[in-house]
Amino acid sequence: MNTEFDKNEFKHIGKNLKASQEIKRPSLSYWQDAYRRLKKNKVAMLSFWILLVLITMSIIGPIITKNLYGHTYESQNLAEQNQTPIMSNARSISLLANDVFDYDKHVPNYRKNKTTFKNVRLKSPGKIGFKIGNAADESWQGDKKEYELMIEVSSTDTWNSIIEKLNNEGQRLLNEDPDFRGISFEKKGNSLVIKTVGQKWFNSTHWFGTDEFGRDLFTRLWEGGRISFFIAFISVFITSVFGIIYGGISGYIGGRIDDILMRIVEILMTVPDMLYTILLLTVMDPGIKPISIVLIVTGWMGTARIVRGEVMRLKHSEYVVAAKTLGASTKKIVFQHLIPNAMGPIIVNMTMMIPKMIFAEAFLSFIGLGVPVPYASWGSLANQGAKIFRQFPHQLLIPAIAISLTMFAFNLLGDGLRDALDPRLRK
Amino acid sequence: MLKYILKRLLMAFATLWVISTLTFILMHALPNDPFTDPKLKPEVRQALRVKYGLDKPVPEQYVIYMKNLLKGDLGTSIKYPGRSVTDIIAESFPKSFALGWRALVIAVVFGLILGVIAALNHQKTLDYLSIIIAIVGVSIPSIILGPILAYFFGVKLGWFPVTVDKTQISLFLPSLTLAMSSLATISRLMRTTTLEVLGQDYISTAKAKGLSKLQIVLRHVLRNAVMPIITILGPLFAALITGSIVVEKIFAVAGLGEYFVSTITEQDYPMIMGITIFYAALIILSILVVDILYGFIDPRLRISGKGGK
Amino acid sequence: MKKILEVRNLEVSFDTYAGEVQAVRDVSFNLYEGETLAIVGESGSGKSVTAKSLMRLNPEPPARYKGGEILFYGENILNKKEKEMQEIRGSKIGMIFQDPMTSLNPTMTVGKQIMEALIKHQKVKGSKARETALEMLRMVQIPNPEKRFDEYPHQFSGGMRQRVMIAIALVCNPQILIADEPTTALDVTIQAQILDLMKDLQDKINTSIILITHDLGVVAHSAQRIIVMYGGKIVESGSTDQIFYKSRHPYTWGLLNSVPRLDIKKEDGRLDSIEGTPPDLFAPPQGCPFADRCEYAMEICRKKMPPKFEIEENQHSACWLNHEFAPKVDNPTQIAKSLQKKEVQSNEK
Repeated sequence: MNTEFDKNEFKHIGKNLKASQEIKRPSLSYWQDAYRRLKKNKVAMLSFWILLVLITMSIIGPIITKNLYGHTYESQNLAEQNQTPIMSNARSISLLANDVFDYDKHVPNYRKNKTTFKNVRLKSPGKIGFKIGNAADESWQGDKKEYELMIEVSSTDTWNSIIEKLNNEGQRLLNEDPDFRGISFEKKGNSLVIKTVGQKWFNSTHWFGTDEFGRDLFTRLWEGGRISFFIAFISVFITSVFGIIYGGISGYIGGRIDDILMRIVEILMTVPDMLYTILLLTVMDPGIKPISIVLIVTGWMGTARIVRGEVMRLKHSEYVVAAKTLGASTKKIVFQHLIPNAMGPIIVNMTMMIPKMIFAEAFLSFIGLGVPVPYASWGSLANQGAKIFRQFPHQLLIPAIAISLTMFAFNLLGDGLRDALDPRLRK
Repeated sequence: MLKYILKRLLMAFATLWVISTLTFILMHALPNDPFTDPKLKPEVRQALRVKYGLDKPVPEQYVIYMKNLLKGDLGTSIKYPGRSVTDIIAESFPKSFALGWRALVIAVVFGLILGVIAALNHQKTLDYLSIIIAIVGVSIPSIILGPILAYFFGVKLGWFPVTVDKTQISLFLPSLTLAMSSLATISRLMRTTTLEVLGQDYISTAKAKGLSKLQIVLRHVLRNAVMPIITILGPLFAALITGSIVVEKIFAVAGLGEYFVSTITEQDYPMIMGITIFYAALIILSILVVDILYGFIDPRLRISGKGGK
Repeated sequence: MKKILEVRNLEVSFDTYAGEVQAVRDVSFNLYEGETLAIVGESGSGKSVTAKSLMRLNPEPPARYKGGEILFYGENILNKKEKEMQEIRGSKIGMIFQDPMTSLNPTMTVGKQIMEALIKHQKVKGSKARETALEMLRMVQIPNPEKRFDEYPHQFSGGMRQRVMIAIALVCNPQILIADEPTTALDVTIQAQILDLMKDLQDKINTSIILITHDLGVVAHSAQRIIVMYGGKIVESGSTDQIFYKSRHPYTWGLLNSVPRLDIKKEDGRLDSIEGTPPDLFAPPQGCPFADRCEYAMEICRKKMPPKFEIEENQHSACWLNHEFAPKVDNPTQIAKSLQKKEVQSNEK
């Protein structure tokens, strides 16, 4: 055993306190550390980039289409109503079987949602026909010629034989005229599904389609983004400034003044913002400025409360008390200690307020108190889209995606910021 | 405790008074009144003004309005002549309430379940799934969610009616739309509070007793984690009430919210004021009830007799 | 004495976002029937993790039992299923925690919290369970137990709550009671009461106690044997007398010197402290974990982990100073010196 060890290794060399206390991590300032942790948070960073894209597009989007095609948010073109982003002249409609055929005693049983057409026969013989490429039809998208498909049926025909006849007739038309796009009939449940063959092409002049007045949705979306973001940013900014002043005074002075100021906030907060908002907007004429004012009037209380809480907490913190005992001036304490240290929660609060403002704006537009026509905001676009959602889903879905993405991104970014700015989570 | 309740009641009345006064001032700060339609003859306009008491000086109107308010009389509607605001509220509010309480139940039940499941599976698939649901819930406003739900489940799949009629099932889609954001809020909060409770020492104590995971959750976690949720039920109920304004419009419910929206565009002052005050009173009451209830539920507050903050 | 618990080469790690923290490294010890074994060490030494491992209370993940075994009556606890563990927890092994203020559920009456374990393990119901729980409250000397039974924890003082905790832990007459810093959060006057209570109850129901503490004062009062832990390892073990008077490890010396004593006056009137901070268990040093803070450190200490040297019967010390090559160092603690003085005096007589 003794050969394993070198006797020289058994000599006192004393403590190595430096090594024991060595801190291996580099020291970072509060903001550096917060930035580092935010950057690590992939979800928050993704949200940040999404927001950046959305905001950039709101700025340049309308300029692009104006220069390329001359679209503005208000230019109407009634010849180009309700276009979709992907245009198509293919159509697919499903007709209820008893709209097309007469039944004798073989009434389909809808209640069980199970219909057997096996033995269905027509009550009376006659003609069945369909018009294809009818310019008067609502989903007409540019066929050059109208075709008519007609078959004769007799009372011995069954469902299947009728469909076969229809398909044969379609094939005959196609053989006769190569311009005819082709048609197919199929039975599906208790309906007859008719599909015409057609091309699909990207709507090259209206990238996101058009609305009911033929206005370009791409332009309107980003124009709406400008208004929505503008309203949100300006109202959050002013709200925060006012909230910081109000909450700061209340928290810093404390005592009786704090009591009174906070009681006022408490009373105002009892009533949900929406009531005030609606009430105020009925008094003012709708527009960007009144909406912003309304959102500011109803939004500052939360910020004021948060700031007051922070200031109260910091005021009694040891380092501020220490600074006071050392004779630091009020100004110095406020600007060097209170504001920088309260900044974290304030920034998080601002981030979380923005989606709330966008939401509030959308809500107001929805109940008809938003920006007046022909201006667009995301809320008013969604409102218009919701009305004709069933025919043209894209008119709702496009602004809906924009709103949801923005809310999504701001909420996630806010969460990330909160985690990054919370000193308790520093590792 | 009694003193606390009395104090809160007093506070509630003060708030209500502030709100009704504010509403009154706002309504009368308008440059025009409901009868500025140029097509009206001056005599007719004057007669209408007299009928609705608008010819009197504003302070006198205020006193009259407040006196009537105390009696529960909110005046007569202008848009629906001959119908008192109270009647209209009494008729339409139950329809809103039918949506409201269903939405509250959906939000609370599913929100709590989702939150607990997320916390118990912290940083696993189920947790992320419920976070996603929660974030989607707060990120998609009801003005978008409503039409989309109506389209897919109502029109495309045909599972539920798109407009509200007498049937129970027709209330499902609007209630769900209304519940969604509250559901998300509750599940998020519940997740946080459950995680907090799970980290408490008394959970270790319960584990050291040999209780199974389920027993720990049922007996020790749930009750403590739900406590903070109770405090937000009041504001949540308020959010549901205002939220129903949108939902009623989407699903064509002739509830109070729908009336509210239409009176705004019609500038029907007695209606606007009446409904605002009614909403405010409802919200204040619900917050009050929840706060008092909380004092009874939490043993720490119950014994010491100090409620609230 | 009958051996009821045997820990062999226990290794526990925590998997964190930054990597593996080796909280317990190669820990072995035995526990005998009816004895009190103290595990002493500063925070982060792994003593709490070791104690919680005995009941598998470390949350898994992040905790991971990397190796070794814990034999309770010959059965390895680390191999048991969760369900089997639940049978053991609270019934065969009870535990009390450091902070009585937070260890009780604030929304459940004290009585119910005591009855819970009874109902779970002994399948007794209603009035019978209540009887036993009341008896338990009486045993932990809570005045007016019938009234207190239906009260909530916030109506109890800290000391009373710790009594309730003891009642909960002992209500099923466990073979082992693990007390994790049971007195740390209490007033000094209450501390002694709680320790006395534990001793009384130990005599009554003949349970073994594992006492986790950083306070050697507490240990002297109640333990028969002591294990000193540092940096996730056992650095010294032995009987209470051996550790107090004949320790052969500089870390133990440091601990002993930092206990305030009235009977020994120091020249400068200051307490000794151990300078420096414990090692980062993210990357434990390859040599002795204490080497960097050790006055007597040698080159070998930084290079090689010291083995266990047997000092006397039952006393082991993991320090290179006990190697035959090492320079001779006497136990420098005041307490050891006073003992030597006494011995010299008695020899002279």
